[in-house]
Amino acid sequence: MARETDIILNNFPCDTPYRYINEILEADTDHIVGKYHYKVDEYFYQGHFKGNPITPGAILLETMAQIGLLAFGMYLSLDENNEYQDEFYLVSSEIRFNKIVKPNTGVIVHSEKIFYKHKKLKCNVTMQDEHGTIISKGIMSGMSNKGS
Amino acid sequence: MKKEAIIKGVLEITKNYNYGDQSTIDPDTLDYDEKLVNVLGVDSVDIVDIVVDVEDHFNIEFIDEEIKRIETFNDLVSEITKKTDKPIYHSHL
Repeated sequence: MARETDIILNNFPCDTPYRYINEILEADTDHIVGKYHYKVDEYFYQGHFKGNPITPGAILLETMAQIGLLAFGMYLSLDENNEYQDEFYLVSSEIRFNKIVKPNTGVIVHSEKIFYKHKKLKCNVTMQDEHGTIISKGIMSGMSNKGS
Repeated sequence: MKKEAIIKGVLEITKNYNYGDQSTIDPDTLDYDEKLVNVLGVDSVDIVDIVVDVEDHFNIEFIDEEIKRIETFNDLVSEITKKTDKPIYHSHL
């Protein structure tokens, strides 16, 4: 698995300051588990909110999508030459948020495949903090337009 | 498989995706030549979900080219009919 996850991380299409994946902990054809640590100096904390930095829900959603759809889709579409064939973009999500995320917090995203067919990846995605408390969970879908 | 059974299965599946007027998928009044996106209020992304449910329900597989041909209820029924009418050859190896 190490080689595949290295390929994903080295070729990941998002970059700083909009890259929300540090590490892939597990991956197989049914699921992926990835990690990100929200640094104290992330750009969005300056304004969200003034004097009370909290990770925006949109960023939590993006983190779930980057790990749970984009990284997972790259893994699922690796061919025999270890080149990924699909790059998924978030098209729908039904996510419930349970907990706020302060700066300097590590999160773990777990994505379980519902289906990966016809250039669409649909997953149950859960974000937890490092103590296992659920931050957000729900269903996300992505479509790939790579190669089309 | 009989056409009636296919239509019943299709309506059962598509009712879960009907974001529009519920009465539009009444089997007696449904316009089977109307586009799925118009009747159900779905978009092309939802169509993939419908297709995947159809594949699971009828135990068939579509290729992407076949999915592109599915625009109306009749298209969907027709594509399912083609798949389910194919004889199944059992290997004796």
